Amino acid sequence: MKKTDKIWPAIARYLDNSGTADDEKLINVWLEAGKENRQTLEAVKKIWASAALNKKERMKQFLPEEDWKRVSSEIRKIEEARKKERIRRFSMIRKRQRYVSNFLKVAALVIVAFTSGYLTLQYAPQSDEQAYVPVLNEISTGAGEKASIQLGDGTEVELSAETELSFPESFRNNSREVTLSGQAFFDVIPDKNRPFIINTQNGVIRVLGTSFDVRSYRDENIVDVMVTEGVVEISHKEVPQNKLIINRGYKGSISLSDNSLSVEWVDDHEQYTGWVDGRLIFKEQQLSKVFRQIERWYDVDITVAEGSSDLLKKQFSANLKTRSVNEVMSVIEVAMDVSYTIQEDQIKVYKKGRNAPE
Amino acid sequence: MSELSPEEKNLVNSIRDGNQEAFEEMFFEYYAPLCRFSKGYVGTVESARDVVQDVFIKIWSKREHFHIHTSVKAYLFQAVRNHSLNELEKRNRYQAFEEEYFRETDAIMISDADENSKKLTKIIWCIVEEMPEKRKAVFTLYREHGLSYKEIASILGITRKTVENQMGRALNFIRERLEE
Repeated sequence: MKKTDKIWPAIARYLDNSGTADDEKLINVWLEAGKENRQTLEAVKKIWASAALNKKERMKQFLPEEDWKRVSSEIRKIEEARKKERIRRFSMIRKRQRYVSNFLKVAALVIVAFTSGYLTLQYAPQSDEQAYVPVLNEISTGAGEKASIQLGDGTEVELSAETELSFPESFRNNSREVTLSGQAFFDVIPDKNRPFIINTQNGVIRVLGTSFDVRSYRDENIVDVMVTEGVVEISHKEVPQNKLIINRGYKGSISLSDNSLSVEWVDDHEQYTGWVDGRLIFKEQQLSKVFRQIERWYDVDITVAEGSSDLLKKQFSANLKTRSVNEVMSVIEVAMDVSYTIQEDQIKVYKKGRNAPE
Repeated sequence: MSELSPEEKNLVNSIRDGNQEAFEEMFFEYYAPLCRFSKGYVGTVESARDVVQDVFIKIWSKREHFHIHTSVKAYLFQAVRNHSLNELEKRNRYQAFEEEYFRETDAIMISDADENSKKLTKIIWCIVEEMPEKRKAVFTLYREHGLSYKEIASILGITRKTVENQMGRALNFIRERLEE
């Protein structure tokens, strides 16, 4: 009895060509034991061979071509549903549907421009520095928009609202220069031979490879550079010998009113860089600045009712996951004890207790 | 488990990235054998087609999670088996379908015993239908679909030793039925 228990798995391995020496021995002993065992093995071999025949015939009743039609139409449905879901999510985050198509166009345009720029850089002879005439590309965002691009050297730039970045189609051999107005977060690819230089309205920021946020809006009289990684050098455009080295965790500033440079430690750099992750962060900021930021972020106009302008001097702190402008305003309403009305993109703010002007 | 071949890795990655051509290629290569395998569970051609189509549609809709460690073939057969068993459970007709096959195969066997190899093949596959699920799957996956013992073990969630035992029993079962 025990022998037959062992013999069948041995035969299974033997037919699989994975039999061991022990299997072979076992089968031989079994074959010697009786004539009927030899017949059994012959029968099994025949079964083994016959079972693998006429496969095509057995598959005939299934028609892949026909059934693929149904599967591919299901796939199309899945893809359409996914696309809708993506668009829905995107517009939910931004709450600015009318900019969606514009934003996408800009991003696509720039990426195409860069692909060709990159190829030029790779294949064009690079020795003729004098012949370098930069072809400038520009990417800009309006109020309520955000964009991100990768430059030809791999550097990634995240643009906040109302920001302009211009950059050559291909960088020089000895430097990578761009011009910025507005606010952007740079993740610069290190390249010792080609420092990365950002020109702002009157500051120059030099880096060798690092991450940092630059804020240089024209209507603000200061250029802020928040360094989150590496080392950055800032200098004044008019007075280039005035330089400051800014280390990680520090914020460097170039004042436009008195041309001075300064540096300060920042405990929580999120108030400068949080916007990259879609957060709106204010730390003891005057409401006038807060409102300006909300105007940029959501493309709205905020006006303060007559007789309520002393509000603008009040300070406000918050860390908000940006949703709709209404939600942001309602936080300010509670925290600052104000009221507001929204009509389309016009927001009016007034002190609590005063009636909304009709 | 054996490593995935570079070609298969490529195929799986392409599908994960949403490449429809790669997916179509996989469909045409495996569709008919998978249907055939599923029919052994669900009984009819129609149900088998539904099961296998659903498996492919599900793979596509969850393609981000399409990860394979053994082989594409083993993965697909495993998915089809699971889906077929679910289908049976849903219909609660497992019992009914087994009885149906006993009757059908008996009729064929009595009428024509071992005339030529084509007939023998047909009879063998009828006998296979009578086997318990695991034994049937082991025999079918090996002789019909060319999977290795190792792959079959992973598909059915049993050890290789058990696969070999089941194969031995399957052969003995067929032999005994043929001698009757």
